[in-house]
Amino acid sequence: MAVEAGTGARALRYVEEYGVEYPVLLDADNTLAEIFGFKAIPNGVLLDEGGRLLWAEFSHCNVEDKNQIEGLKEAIQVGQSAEAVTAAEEEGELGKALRQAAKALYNLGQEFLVKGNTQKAIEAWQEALRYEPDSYLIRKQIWALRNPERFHPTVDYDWQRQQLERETQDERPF
Amino acid sequence: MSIIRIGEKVPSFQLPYLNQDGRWESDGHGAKKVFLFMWGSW
Repeated sequence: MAVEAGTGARALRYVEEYGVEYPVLLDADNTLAEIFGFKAIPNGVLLDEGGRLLWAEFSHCNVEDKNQIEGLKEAIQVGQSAEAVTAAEEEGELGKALRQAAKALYNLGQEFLVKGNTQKAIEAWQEALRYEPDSYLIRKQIWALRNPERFHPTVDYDWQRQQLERETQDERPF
Repeated sequence: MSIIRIGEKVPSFQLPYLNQDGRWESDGHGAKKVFLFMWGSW
């Protein structure tokens, strides 16, 4: 599942370049983030035929991690994993209101992006970050638009770490 | 923010998928056991 704002063009390019053969969905509105409460990727979840959560790994799902693969296999065979996994901490009313405000601004930015107004999209997402400064989903969308060379053909994670340090020093979250 | 615990039912959702012609298409699908891996190009 590609968590990607916009029309899906970037995700499509990735699919073609890497020869992805499994079915690919596009989550442009962060629908799954709303459901599970995650703020970063990569994530992996296993659902059964009834839509019940059997296994989950958030923010650092790694198909090369033997422990994760064993847990996933167990969940497939047994029906669910042995440990409960939660994606987010409990939030109060203020936290909920801040997240909803961030979501509304994210959606506004998404609309601007689809209509081709990149600058307005970035402005809306920057405002969204003030309400949800720990959302990598929002932050990286801004980075990818402003600095595409840092994401293709390879992702520069050192640059992302340095950029995060620079930005969080200057930000004024609520 | 909702917390989905193991064994709990996930709210239903519908997202566009990539069809064989390379286009994003919205369509209903039957329920299956499914592994979702969420990634981004960033």
